[in-house]
Amino acid sequence: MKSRNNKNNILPKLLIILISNCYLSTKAQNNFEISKTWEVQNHEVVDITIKNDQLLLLTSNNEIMQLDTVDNYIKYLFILKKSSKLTGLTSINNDFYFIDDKGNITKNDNNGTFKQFRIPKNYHTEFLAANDSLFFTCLLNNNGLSYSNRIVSINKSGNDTIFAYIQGSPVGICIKEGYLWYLARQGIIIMYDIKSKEWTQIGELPISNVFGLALIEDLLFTYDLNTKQIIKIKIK
Amino acid sequence: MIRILFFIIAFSFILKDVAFAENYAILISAGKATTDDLFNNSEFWYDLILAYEDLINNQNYTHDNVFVFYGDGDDWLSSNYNKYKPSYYGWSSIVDFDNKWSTIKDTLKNYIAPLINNNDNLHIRWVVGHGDIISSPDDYSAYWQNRSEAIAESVIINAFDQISNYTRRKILWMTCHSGCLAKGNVNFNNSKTTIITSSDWDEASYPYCPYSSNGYCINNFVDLHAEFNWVITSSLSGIDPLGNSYNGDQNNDDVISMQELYNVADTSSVMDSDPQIGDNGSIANKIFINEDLVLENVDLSNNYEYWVENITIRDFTILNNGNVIFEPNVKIIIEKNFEAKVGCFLEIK
Repeated sequence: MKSRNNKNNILPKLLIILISNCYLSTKAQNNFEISKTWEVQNHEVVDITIKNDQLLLLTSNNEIMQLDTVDNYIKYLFILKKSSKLTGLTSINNDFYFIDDKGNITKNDNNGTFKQFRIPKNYHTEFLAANDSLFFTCLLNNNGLSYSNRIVSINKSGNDTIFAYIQGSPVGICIKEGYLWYLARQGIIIMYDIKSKEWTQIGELPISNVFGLALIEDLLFTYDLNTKQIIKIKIK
Repeated sequence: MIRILFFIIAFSFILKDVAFAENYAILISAGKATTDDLFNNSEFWYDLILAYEDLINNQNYTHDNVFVFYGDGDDWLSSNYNKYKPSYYGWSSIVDFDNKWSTIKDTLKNYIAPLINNNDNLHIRWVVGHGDIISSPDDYSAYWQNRSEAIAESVIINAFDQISNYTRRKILWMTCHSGCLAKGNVNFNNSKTTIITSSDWDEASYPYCPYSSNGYCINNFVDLHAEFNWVITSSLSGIDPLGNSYNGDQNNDDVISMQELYNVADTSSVMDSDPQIGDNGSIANKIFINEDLVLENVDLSNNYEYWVENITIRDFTILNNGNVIFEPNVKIIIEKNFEAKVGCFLEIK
């Protein structure tokens, strides 16, 4: 806090700067370690999620692919024939859920739209995450970065509320144990407490220019746009 | 009708019979930074410290008269860039209070309002924050990046209006939908206030990235700011965050009025949003963030008004078609070379 009478006592603050800079740079480098990669050629990945310990990929052609981590290959599962573009994928228990660019959340049981929420004019959705009671998606301005870009939560009635305003360029969200994990393009990870909405920046991945975020236990999955690889990262 | 040069000022200053005035500023950054170069994170500190630096080093405010609300109440000292460190300017810290709404509201009421009297001037700058609406200019709410708070505009306006005594109030507000605060039935407007907002009531506000690609800021650059702040702070200081000179002076008098600030923001190619102005008293063209103007090496040839605390004149000429009104609340000092050409009009109120 600023002392209203003494503005020039700099030395203690300089020491704090040195100490905190050392701490932050060490923290960013040591939290995450790349442990394995898989090639995903010829598919543009839109979102990823984990269902029953399997990593699933949604592509820009509305295809669902599965990463077989045992035999180390990406296999085609099915394609969703929809007129709209799917922009997010998540799973709850044994079911898939998708969100499209019109705000429709669809369950993969061929029963049509599960939930729909209103997308403001000049905005679109990207990514989908869910827990037992809420869906979460990123609502983004079509012009790019905007101070209105937000993560919204959508309840079972389809009503949406602002969960958080988005930091950086979003490339993925997922939920783990009461927290919404958020990944920004440059690899920065922010963790939101879903109840309190308080957030903590927990670190920075050892790579940037990534897309998609999925978590299981102490493993984090994302897609490297530079190398076209799914990256498995161990969280220390 | 030709007006003639009507006097040579034989004395060096006019001192009005008023109490000494203080110029107060309130800076609020409704978020906190935790890392460099991250949109909707870094600029909560970057834009705040540049706004503060401009007030102290260019606009003649004192540290003690600038009240800063930010984050958890402490400066962010972890930037890797020198110009975002208080120590770079020789200061130990700039933040006074955390940015909880309860802190802001209580401080306005119990600490700042009692300090300010009718002779004083007030500058309010909501430096960076979020705003949202439901459907009209009267249902704006302000949101915080670092807190799950949403405060309705009527509550915000009432809290600031607890400071009811001031000669002039100058407000700059940067959030999405901030035009609500200058429009509709619920707003900051009154005859002593000019407010400039970053966007219209129904639109978003945006960041400015000097280096961007496909609408996204390129990683690892130093100059991420709200576009409104880029224009406003650069205009006031005369230099942009990259260190280039920036000219916000539209009428060539070398000082920047609130009207000029609005005009620059409204026409700047940096801005994607549409700034708004609330100016019920039609005072924007004669009031300034800086209350101690120095008019130096200036030749004026059109209509000018200066309603500030103090005016100092050096090498100053009013040309024959110049029409100038000085309205200092305290004094006007003519230090050297004041000339009023035949045909000009000069009034000192």
